[in-house]
Amino acid sequence: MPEGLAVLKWDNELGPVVTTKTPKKLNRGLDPTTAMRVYGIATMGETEESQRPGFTSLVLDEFKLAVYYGGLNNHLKGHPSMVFLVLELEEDPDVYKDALPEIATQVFLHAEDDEYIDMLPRLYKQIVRYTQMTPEQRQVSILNDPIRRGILRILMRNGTVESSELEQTIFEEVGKEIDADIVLRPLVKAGIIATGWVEGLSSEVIYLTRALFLLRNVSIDTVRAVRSGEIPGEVAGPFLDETKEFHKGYSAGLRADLHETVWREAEELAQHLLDVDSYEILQILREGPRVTSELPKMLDLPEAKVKKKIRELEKADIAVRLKDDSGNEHVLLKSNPKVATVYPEWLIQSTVESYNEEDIPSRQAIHYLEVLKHSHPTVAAAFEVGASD
Amino acid sequence: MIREIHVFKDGQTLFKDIVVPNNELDTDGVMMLVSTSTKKLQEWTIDSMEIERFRYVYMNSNDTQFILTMDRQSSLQKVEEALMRTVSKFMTAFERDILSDRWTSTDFSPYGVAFRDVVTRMPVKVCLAGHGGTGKTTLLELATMPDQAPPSEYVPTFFADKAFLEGDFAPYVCSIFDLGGQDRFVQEWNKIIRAGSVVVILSDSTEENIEWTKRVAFPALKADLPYARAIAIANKQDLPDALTPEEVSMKLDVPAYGMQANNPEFRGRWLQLLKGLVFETIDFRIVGEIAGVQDYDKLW
Ligand SMILES: Nc1nc2c(ncn2[C@@H]2O[C@H](COP(=O)(O)OP(=O)(O)OP(=O)(O)O)[C@@H](O)[C@H]2O)c(=O)[nH]1
Ligand SMILES: [Mg+2]
Repeated sequence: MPEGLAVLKWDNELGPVVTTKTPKKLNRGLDPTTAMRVYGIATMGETEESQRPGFTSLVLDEFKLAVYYGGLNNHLKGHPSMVFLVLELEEDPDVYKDALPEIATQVFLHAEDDEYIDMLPRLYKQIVRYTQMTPEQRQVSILNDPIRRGILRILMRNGTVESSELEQTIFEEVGKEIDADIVLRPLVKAGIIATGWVEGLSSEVIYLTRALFLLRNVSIDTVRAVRSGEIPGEVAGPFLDETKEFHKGYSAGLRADLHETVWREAEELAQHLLDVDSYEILQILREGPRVTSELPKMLDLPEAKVKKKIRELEKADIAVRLKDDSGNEHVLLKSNPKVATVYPEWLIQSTVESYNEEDIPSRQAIHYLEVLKHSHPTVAAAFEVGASD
Repeated sequence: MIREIHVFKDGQTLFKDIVVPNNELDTDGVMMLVSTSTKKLQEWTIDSMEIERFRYVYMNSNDTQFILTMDRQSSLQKVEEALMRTVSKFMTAFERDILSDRWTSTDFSPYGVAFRDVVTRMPVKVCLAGHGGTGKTTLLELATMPDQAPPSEYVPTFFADKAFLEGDFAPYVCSIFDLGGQDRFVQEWNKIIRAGSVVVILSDSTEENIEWTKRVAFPALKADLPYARAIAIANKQDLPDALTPEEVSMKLDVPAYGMQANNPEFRGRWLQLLKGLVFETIDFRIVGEIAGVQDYDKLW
């Protein structure tokens, strides 16, 4: 368990200044000498051109620090530029190397009007929760953030975009001024995008290497269990009918407009997957149908809470409740939300078209095709095999 | 660093306080010019103007012109906050007089206390520059930790250190940045020294240090703090081969003052020098005007 979280900025006259921290009594690691040192370590060698945000960890005499630096731009402007997670000596800072960038990014994105100050205690709680997330949930958390959802949307449509243009589009669509570098960093790490410089273009170019979205699948295990007679016939029939009907409509939607269907419900699905209780219920239902009354004990949750969560899942067309003849209520998975990372095959063709029609600079198109070639699943797999030798 | 305040209305001076006088420009002339610009500003908007190493930040409120004189490189955002505070404090006390005709006979002098408070809130940034091992950290501790014995061994400063110095500087408080002087840290100075008002250049009074200072330190300082005022410290005067302060002055083209940073008896002298540099009562040089810097720039 970390000891606390703090945000620092660089003040020209004062040096490093703690702008807010949680819990309020946190002092360790925040003395001027340590703070100055951390600024030194994080910024050594960085220039205005090379500036990169990044994660660093430090072991001091009595504690450890996991820090995330927001880049020289934030630093020199005197905006919040460093997020400190103070840890006890026994802890491994690397546990936080995915969670801290996420949290820090939220801080930097909400720097205007000091919005992040009120958010910090909540973000701090999320850090701990984040480390307990499943890989599936981590991917979902990317889709839960309106800005990154917006970025993926743009990239899944266009494949490649200049970062300055992306900043502009995000500003128009989401109403937030972003520093592309800060927001994109975690996506690069997750293997979803790549960045690079193209001669003749003034800002960095972003490329999509894996599309990320949330789909609804038929829950095979549920259907199998239902078919094999695990639940009473008066429930099985209506369930299969309802599920079939639903997926027919859903597939039609995907065929008609994949992007529109996927993005329309990304936010809603993400929220259920990130809710601790809903996610646990989902995990149970993924294994097969259940009688509602069994769940409170399995989950160690009060009955009312379980009911509420199931109703929410039902409203989202994820679960369905049906009563059998003896009055028992059964819960089944109607659709199984699934995060899909997909190689964006379709962008090869459309990039070739943009190249022919000169919609994007030819160098950028060629570079993107190269990137797509290198990130093709067969090539990427070959790399991994090579690396493990 | 805030140097002066002038408050005008209808061409009359309501209040003025000069903490560090400007001996280089004709203050009355400058004020006439700046207040003309100020009058044209809309209520509560701030503008600024730079002349040589000074920055004039001004605002018009209730047809009254407020002008702060700053060191040119002070952070603009802080200066604006200071001016806002200055004006609102003034208006809280005197708005009624200003809005009526009474102001012609009001005594505004009690405002001095409030103004000095604004001055104190903006620390004077002091940068200790110089090669590794010349005595910057020793000098910092001599000032800020008088009860502690001087460090006996040399521990290079990583990146930088920072400490406050209050004391005999009222209304100013100094915020001292002790820079890491090893070569790998000099390229980081630009991240640390911005907005510095004064620079103290440490030399250990040897030929090779002088050569290093001119070749490495001057270009770095000149790039970021051309308008700061500087003195040199000819440190380690106790060593038998030390160049004299006069020699160091000549060679660096910066007024140099002799020192023994590891000797507590020199604390008083050091504080006097710092005070003299802040208040401009001793001989100093503007960083951008140090001779030879341009020539060395080319070499660099
Ligand atoms: N003989 C003599 N030694 C001194 C004097 N002042 C400082 N020293 C010694 O010089 C050494 C270097 O001192 P520091 O103050 O740590 O050097 P620095 O300039 O901060 O070095 P960096 O942090 O690497 O830039 C220490 O061993 C001091 O004790 C002095 O006046 N005379
Ligand atoms: Mg030092």
